Amino acid sequence: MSKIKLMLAGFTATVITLLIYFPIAVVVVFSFNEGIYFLLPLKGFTTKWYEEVLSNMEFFESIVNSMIVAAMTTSGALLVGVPAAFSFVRLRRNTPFVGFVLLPFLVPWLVIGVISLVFFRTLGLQLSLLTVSLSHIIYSIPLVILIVAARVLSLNPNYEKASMDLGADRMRTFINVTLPLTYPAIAVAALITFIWSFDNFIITFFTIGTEQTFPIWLWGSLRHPTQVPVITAASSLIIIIGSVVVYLLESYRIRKGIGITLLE
Amino acid sequence: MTTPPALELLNVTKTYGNVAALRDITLAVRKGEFITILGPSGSGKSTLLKIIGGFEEPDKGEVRINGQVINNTPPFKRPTSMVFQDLALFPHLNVFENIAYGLKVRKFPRDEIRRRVKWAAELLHIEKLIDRRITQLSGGQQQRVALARSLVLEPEVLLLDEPLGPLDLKLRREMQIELRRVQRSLKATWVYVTHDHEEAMTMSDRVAILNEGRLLAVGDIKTIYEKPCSRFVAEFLGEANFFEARVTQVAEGKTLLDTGSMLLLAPSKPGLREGEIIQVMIRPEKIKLAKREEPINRSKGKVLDLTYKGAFVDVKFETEHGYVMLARFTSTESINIGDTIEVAWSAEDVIILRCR
Repeated sequence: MSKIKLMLAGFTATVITLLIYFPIAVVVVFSFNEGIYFLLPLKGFTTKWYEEVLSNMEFFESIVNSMIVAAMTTSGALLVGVPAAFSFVRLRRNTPFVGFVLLPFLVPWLVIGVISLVFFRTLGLQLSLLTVSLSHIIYSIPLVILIVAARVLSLNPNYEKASMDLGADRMRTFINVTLPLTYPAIAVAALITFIWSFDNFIITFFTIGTEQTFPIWLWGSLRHPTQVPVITAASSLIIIIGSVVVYLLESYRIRKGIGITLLE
Repeated sequence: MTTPPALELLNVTKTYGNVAALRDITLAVRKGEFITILGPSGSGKSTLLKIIGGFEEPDKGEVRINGQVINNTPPFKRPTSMVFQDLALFPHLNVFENIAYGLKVRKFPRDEIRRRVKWAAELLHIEKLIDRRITQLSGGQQQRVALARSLVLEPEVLLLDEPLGPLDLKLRREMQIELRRVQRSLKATWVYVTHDHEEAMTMSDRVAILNEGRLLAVGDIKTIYEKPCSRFVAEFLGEANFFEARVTQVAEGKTLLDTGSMLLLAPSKPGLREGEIIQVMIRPEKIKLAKREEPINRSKGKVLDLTYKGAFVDVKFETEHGYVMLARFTSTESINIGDTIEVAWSAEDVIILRCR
């Protein structure tokens, strides 16, 4: 029995490694390759592509822009999504409103991009990082609602009752009890929204003005074949930074003893 | 002027849709009293507790604490505190923070909080657990923390909603005695809700029996057990033999009853009319092994079944009058299945089931 489980676990680990990590590893390896083509055999070790990326102002600007968009999207989505999640659960009713709000989740990104563009143009809005964030928020709100509502729904209502019984009014109960018990889900929703918005290309492509976000810069660079090694270096940098962030978050989670169950 | 009761319910009525959860409940609880609301699930006992705690509003009637009507007071302003069925200890706070919660939100000074938490922790023997996380506690320890969290506030009325439910039998017994000890030492007013009549017997000064939203009996458990006024109350508190009988004669405080095949003599009750059909009850432990000459309050029967229960043995036997009766004898009696036994009981142990 346990042998089968072990074999299954081993199989899963192998598949995940091959499917996800092998292509990533290839990119990282080629970022240190001296040749400018994505071809074997490797030509020799170099860090010059990294030097090139790190001296590229457009790269830095695009990263900063992506951060700004992701931050605005995350705040906007949380600001609308968290209260919406609470009211969904508190209403405890299956209203058509639920499906209505979750609809953007099912609309293809391309469609959201196009309608956003048409919408902003009709309103006469200047395309900018703000319009990018607004179009991202449309898609992120259902995501936040889904994650947070699941947590609020599983919250034992007696915690709030006990708090009120012990003398805390509704406001204090929300701050002292409800929020701390929901915050892991809010944090997860924020993290996912941030990463998603940072990475998004399709919706951004339609709603961005003259600025560049990181995915847009990457896509633009791809049109110049000599830039390919620079792109691998830039991608590797993002992967490395991402890994460090994930490592720090995970060690924090384990140190705090927050279980996976809290993240559901 | 006499001091008003610690807790008073006056004609409290509550309906959910078409279902009446509580019907016209009137009950007064003295200061320092341990009263148990006893009833099967769905009897309305939890609703009653929620109304006292302020989590539900009664449709009609008044809730008073120390003479003051608190109907429209929200739970966080009531001088009551509730120990929830699932305890609802805050999982993100440790033991100290849980116990101190009520004091903190009420803005007690830091020293006072520390002093009171220490007092409650000592009272419940949990001083050593004060820095633990809630998830690191056993079921019994969690009960104690939940109790401490309510007790530090010195509530006028403490409400307990079947808090011992999930514990195993041994720990349950221990906690029952512990709860009683704490309640006695504080001389506090406690309202305890349970469906377990043995639990009620162990702990309470008085018991209120609730069924289908109606208060059927209030009083000390001995009186209710021995002289219940309805079949439901009689059965809820233990086993009994029930008979339907016709009143044939009422005289000198006694009543002669005829079940059709057996004659019973019972103490009379006011308002009994000759010829009417009534219900009577005899508790199994009141039936004695004895021969009696006159054909009243006696029977003879064949033993059908024996259940050994330690100090006593339950004997099920079929009588010559056509009834299957249950008697409870001390285990020293040597009785076997198939034996014929002769039994008798006193007139005062034949209880007429009538509430008015």
